[in-house]
Amino acid sequence: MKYAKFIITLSLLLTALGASEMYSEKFLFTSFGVGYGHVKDMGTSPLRYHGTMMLANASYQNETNKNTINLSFGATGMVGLATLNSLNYFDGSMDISYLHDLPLFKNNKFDLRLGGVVNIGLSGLYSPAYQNATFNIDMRVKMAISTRFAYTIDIERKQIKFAGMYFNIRKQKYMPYFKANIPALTFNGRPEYAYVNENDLGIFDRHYFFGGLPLSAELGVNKYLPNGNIIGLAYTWDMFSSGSKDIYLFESAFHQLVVSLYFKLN
Amino acid sequence: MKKIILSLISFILLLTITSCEQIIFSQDPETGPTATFEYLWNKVDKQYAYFDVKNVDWDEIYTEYSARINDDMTDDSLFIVLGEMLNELKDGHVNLFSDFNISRYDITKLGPQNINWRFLKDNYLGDDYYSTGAFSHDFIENNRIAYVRYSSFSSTFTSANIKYIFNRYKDTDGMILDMRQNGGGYLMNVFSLLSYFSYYDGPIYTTCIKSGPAHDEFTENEDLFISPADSSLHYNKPIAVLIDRGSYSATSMFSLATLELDNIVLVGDTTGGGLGMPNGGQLPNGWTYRFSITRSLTPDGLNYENGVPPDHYAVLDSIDMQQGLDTVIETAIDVLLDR
Repeated sequence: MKYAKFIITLSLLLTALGASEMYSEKFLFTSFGVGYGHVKDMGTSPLRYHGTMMLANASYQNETNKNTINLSFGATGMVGLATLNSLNYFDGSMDISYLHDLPLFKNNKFDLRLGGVVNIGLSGLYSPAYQNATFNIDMRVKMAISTRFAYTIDIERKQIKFAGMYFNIRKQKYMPYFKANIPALTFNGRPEYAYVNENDLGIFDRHYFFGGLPLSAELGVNKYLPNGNIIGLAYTWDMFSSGSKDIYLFESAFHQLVVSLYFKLN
Repeated sequence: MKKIILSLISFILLLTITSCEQIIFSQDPETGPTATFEYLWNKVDKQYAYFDVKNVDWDEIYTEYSARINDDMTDDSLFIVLGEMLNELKDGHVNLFSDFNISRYDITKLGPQNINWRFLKDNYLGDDYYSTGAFSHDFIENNRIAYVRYSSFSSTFTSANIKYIFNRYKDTDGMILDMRQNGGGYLMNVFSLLSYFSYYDGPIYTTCIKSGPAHDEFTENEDLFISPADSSLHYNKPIAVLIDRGSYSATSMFSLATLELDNIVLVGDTTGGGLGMPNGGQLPNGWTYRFSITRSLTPDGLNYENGVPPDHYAVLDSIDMQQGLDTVIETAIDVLLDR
């Protein structure tokens, strides 16, 4: 219940922040993606597990001429294979990001925003071959500097002639963009020195440490529909290395093609 | 033109950033026999929990077995060498798994086969014994003793199962809980079963886990407790638990815990041990392994990894068997009836 209150309060706060600006477009959007990924957890294996993956996200976004505020909940799943063994990877996370407009370009078609993102997440690995280390969970809090560069393309309504026939081109608007997150601070909670399942007796501690290198980037395009909704298509890349030595090392990288549907709220 | 340049810049940025993956990530390991041997030896060296109890010099093992490794050897030969190396630990919780074989140390061969189920049925239970959940059970010794067989801690049971059994045998003078050749299973079933057999709520054993690479590097001991079940779900007469070398892992843990309980005696042969929780991992060539990474001790710190001894020693005797008698059961009956 207290989590629900927290989320509602946060949403209201984000809405209030956006409401003070000149214009604001609020969206609820959902994203689905498929892709390819690999993970390596030195606690149980020196091998990299490769596999196909899927993701789903649900987000709230408030975009004004001054800033973009985003609250997002996401889940990812992957089935990986390394030589004779398979494992399941999954993660769930919450992102809160704030991007502020940098008025560097006089041309209002260009839009450069800079800000930060906080990601709080859990990831789990499940492989029955690992006995009492079959199931383990990592906890992470990642803070990053975030940037988005976008360009707006407006196509006016017009008629073109092709092969002796006339075609009507409707008014259209596209926004290609590029986003990147550059790590600032990461906090990890990994299984302890000797891995033991999370639920076995519950008497063993975790290994907590600062460090790690999360990087992510996104190249996509949004198409604005006449009713104000948006369809987006993007390639996203997300990698993480705990940067640790020996058994505390965890690495993952995911390459995904993501389709997003934005539903305008105002 | 500007749009094309911007698109190109974005694309190049993306490629540049994604190529970080190759630079930042660790190298994939060598997968040959030498690398596989080195990885396994090191993993055991840093994480195995019982070097002192097993009295094994792991450095000597390295010298001996590394001489048998070369990168031209076949998978079969490598598996044999690695399997033999692991068996130096004399631990039933240590295995190597490949797609063509599993190495094992057969702990049951340390003692005689101490149960013969067909013999038990022919001479004690007949064909009409009851099967309730994970338990096979019936009256023996002119209805004075309840005999209950629990053959695996992997078999789960319900409180309804227990209630039925305890109600059926409420007028007996004692109960035999036969765990001979019970090779273990789910640890939580140990706690669950114990909760029906005692009102004791103190520590039943203490445990620690490897916390660093040195052979004696462990976390602080932590006590583990049972929560006694409701008093309507208890058997209040004396209980004899039958054990042998095949009573391993969770069954050894159960036996270890009974050392704290006044109403339970152990009858039979020393258990097989296996008091550490085995966890597993993967080798560079893809095979998997497991070995113990925790220790379980009595609350006062005694280590029974090599086996929990019985209070009353008994093994099957061929002369007794010719007379239709299971020596271990007969010893337990004597103890329970105080003959």
